[in-house]
Amino acid sequence: MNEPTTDDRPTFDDPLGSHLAALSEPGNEPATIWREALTKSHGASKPRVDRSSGKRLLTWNSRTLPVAAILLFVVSVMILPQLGKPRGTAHSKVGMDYAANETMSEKSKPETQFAMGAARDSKPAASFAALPPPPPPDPSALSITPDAATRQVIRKATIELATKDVPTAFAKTSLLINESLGEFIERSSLRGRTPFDTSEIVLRVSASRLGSVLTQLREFGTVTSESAGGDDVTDRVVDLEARLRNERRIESELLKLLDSRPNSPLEDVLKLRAELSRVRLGIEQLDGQKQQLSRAVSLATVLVLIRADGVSVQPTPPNAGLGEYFNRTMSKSWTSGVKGLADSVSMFLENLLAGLVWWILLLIVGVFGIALLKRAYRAAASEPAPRL
Amino acid sequence: MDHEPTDADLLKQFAQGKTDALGALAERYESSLLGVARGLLGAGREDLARDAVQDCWMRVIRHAGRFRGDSAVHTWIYRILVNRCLEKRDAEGRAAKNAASAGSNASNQDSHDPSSLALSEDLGQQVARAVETLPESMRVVLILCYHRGLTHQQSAEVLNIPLGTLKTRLYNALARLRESLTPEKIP
Repeated sequence: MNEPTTDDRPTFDDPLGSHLAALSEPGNEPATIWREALTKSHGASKPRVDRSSGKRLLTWNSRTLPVAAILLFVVSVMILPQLGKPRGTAHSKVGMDYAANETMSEKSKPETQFAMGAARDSKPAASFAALPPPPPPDPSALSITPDAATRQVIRKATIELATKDVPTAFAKTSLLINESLGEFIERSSLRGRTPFDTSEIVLRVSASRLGSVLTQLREFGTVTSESAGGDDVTDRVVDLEARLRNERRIESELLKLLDSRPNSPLEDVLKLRAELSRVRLGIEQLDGQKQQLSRAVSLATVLVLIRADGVSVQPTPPNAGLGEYFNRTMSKSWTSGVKGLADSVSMFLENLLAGLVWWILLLIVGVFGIALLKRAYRAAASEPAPRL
Repeated sequence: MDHEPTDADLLKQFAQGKTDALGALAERYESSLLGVARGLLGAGREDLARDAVQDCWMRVIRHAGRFRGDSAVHTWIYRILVNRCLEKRDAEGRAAKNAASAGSNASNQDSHDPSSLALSEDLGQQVARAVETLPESMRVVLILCYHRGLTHQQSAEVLNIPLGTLKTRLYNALARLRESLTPEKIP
């Protein structure tokens, strides 16, 4: 025991001093209260220090609860809605093998993709035959509202073939179009040394014939990859129709106005004609856009990529062994994994940047909170001086 | 040669999980703590005093691992006890306090009149009653300074006041106490 020094002790030999000392006289009873305290503290024989932080947190709940609620609100309202966005964006871009047509990359709602990898299955199980039939290329359908069953969809597809004879496949592909239906070849090219290694053809075929054209294309070689997508332009068509109706109504009103006032001053007549001219220009532009959309809807775009067999894709033996199957599966998994990683990194970066302000705010709140906790933790052990 | 562990050693050992270390610490201080608690809470409040000591130990148990050694261990423990005792008194409620205050005033008035003191009451009881009537700041100083386990310096550390202040308060408390007691009974 740390015995106090006696040099500044009060004197206990006088009666008052001895009576005062008797007021706080230590008793002779054995020390037992500490054991009761120990039992009461945690009901075990071990010291409580290991659990003190937990207890502290519990006692802090009344203060931390509002902070936690605010954080939860921020996370749920500001951050969570962002989570699905990048993934959707990333996935929508996966199926886009090219951007030949400007109308193709804007939206891709009804999209289907078939990643064949190294497998050479000339008859894919899930083919475009499973797709719903495209709407008939009837220009009058443009006047149908979005509520109607028929929607205006610009269809596009990409198919990659491997064949031993690229020029023959190229020629056969060129013959698939039916010019009487307005179909045409938008672009074509043959590349590589003679005989050519690769070719690229962009076909514009009737939307109703897309399925059959793809079926025929599959017969020209081994399909190594295939994807299809659609851009729903129904809203744009409806909007164009409405604007067109409005412009035409203005035009007829202006014409009536012009007819009803044959004796008006020349200046007024010229102004009216200028306005009429402006309205007619608008009508022409809107009509042109409508026609363009109509053509895009009626004619699907098919990008055909033909490669020489053995240039980039190794053929799979008909009865491939387990090793080959393993390699193929691993290759597919690797590709899928890398894509997934890219998606995840993309999602992370987008969330990081989109919520930068909130992250900084959270960081500040977190640092401040931790500092407060540390301070409270330190202060807990230091007993304040008695307030007298 | 075995050195007796210091208070800090015992507290550290307890923080590391040795329950017996707390027992050793209690052997050193519990009876003294109980004495101080009795002095601060007044005679006849044994249960309250034991509660205060128990609360004191509970706080020691809870914060043993975080004791930074800014003061001596026994100073820290005594300070905890004083705080717990003051809390206990506050917890008795304002009504009880008012009642006690009324009693104190009556006692004060009695003490100023030597004839009002019961002749059968011995000096010890009178001193105890007179101490009860003192303001809290004086009472605490008086109890700590006349406690056999603490020096004036240590009492000042417990209360976190300069030694001079403590001595001034002690002087004033003694003067007030002497005034409260019957002149012929003061030696």
